[in-house]
Amino acid sequence: MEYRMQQTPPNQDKADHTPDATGRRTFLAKGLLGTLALALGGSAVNLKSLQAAAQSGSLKPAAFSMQGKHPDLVVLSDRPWNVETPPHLLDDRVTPTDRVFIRNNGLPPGKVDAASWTLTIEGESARTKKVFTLAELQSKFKHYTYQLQLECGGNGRAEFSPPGKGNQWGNGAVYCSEWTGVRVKDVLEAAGIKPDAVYVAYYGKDVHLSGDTSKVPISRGVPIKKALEDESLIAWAINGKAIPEMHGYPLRVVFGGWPASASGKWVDRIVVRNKVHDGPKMNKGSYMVPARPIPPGAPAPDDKDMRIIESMPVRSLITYPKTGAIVKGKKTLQVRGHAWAGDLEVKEIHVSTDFGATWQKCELEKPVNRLAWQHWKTQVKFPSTGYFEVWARATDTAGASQPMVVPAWNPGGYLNNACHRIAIQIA
Amino acid sequence: MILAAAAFATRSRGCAKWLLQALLCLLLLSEVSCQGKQEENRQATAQSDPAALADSVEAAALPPPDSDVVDGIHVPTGLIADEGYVLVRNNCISCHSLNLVKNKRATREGWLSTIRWMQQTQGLWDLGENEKPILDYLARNYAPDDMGRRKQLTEVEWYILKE
Ligand code: HEC
Repeated sequence: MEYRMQQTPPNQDKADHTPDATGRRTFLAKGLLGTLALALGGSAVNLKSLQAAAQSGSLKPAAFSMQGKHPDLVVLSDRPWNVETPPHLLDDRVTPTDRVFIRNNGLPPGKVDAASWTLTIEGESARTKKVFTLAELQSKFKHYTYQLQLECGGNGRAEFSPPGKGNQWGNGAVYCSEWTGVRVKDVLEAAGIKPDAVYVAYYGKDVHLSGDTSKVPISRGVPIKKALEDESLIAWAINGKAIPEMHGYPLRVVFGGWPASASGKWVDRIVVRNKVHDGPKMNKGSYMVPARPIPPGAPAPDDKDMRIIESMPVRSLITYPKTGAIVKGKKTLQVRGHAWAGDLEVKEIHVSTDFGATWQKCELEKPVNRLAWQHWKTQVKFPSTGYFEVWARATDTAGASQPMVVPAWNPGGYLNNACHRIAIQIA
Repeated sequence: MILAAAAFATRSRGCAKWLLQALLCLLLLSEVSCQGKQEENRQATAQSDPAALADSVEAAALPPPDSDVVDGIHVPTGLIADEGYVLVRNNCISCHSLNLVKNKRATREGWLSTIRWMQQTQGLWDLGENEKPILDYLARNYAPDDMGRRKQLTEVEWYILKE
């Protein structure tokens, strides 16, 4: 199911259900045709010829490199890049850029000239069409910096049974880094917003996986109200530096607390819509859950009976210690991590060392700004030697807390916020 | 060239029919020669990898050669070595990593719905007579396990905690 980035390629995939002796997956796919589409030049790739090439077996794997990412990140797929961060690597208060998970829906645009990059604001509900260069955005509008938590709508998907569609994420498709840019609202107001505005959506310069340049890989967005919040940014920097290619260089939008797919990368166009946006991956169940719960495995309802995921649910991670700790010579343990709750705040967090029978309250910090994750810590005591699990359960300001089992089944396998668990042995 | 021909055709109506026919012939010819090229390519790759040619249903139904199989896995692709793997290899690698396929677990209906979704929204072609053997292969080899409401913590790598 996955491979570690530091491993050398035996160019084989031992299929996900046959882990090797260490329990790791040791393959490193050589990367299928890498950038075939780009190699074929800027012109549209004809699907027929792609099909012919594929069926003739003439598409050969190409080598790839992982652009300075932490070597222990777990690669779920290299085309598109889907790479997750094991929870213990998310221990920093502000996630370092090399530990940020990657979820790409298409191929990054390749060579980008930031000096000539422009952002167009338009759409039915924009009063005027405006075009800004990156330099103009930076000089015309006030800059803001916020720590914002971004989580994939499918984080935790691997626990759904029957499995949900899409990448089988563990718990590590989440992070909280520091973004710098201008407010979406300042830029939209420069173009003018009509009173009938409903949705604000992005288009980016990424390329569809098929290489077909007439297809848009993904174009999503948020309702106008969310777009106009102070923390909604058009950003060019993460953790004080230019955004890396994989994360949207040179410009992207960031809507903290919502499925990270709403925060488009490589953005060159923002549209103000007079209806709910209808771009690719705003339909056919993408980033949607049933409006009324359905039994596990039931057929996916039509879109009209689904709701688009907005604010993400309350959740937490134990980032220290790493799961699998053998504790020798004592029966106490420091544990810590982060907690977040979409648009809301986390009110309290508890841990249990007895499989949920009793819970102990942890120290919890306020967020540094709205939509930043919150840090928590505590010390736990174990009654004896043996095998234990530490479970963490956060509660948001509306009173909702994390379930201990996997929550409502849904066809896309979204929104699994079941409490995080680590395994411990007291020796 | 087409523009020039069109301009000419509007000037002399009598010639138009003839010209159009000539153009069509040209187009057809180039199609045919293109197909010839593809056929050549196919033959070339087939020599290095016999499975590459297997795009007939019968040939594709064969399991992979033993030399390519380790622990039930077809090493070059990582797919489970079973009848029909060639069809999956040939139809499913051009857009995305085969990991997307190998990581998925679904019933036949689940696989079919993913294929239909890709056909409706992502440009996947009609799989024709290959659809059935592809679905058979996927449903047989990549079926879901019932994991219940929550799995045990597995694959824990134990280490001594030093503080
Ligand atoms: C024409 C391009 C194309 C081809 C060919 C293609 N796919 Fe896909 N497929 C896509 C795209 C695009 C996605 C979405 C990727 C993403 O969201 O990261 C996708 C996603 C998937 C997923 C993940 C979603 C889910 O339902 O779990 C699976 C599995 C998958 N494809 C299987 C296949 C199989 C099997 C084949 C061969 C029969 C195939 N694909 C051939 C374009 C294609």
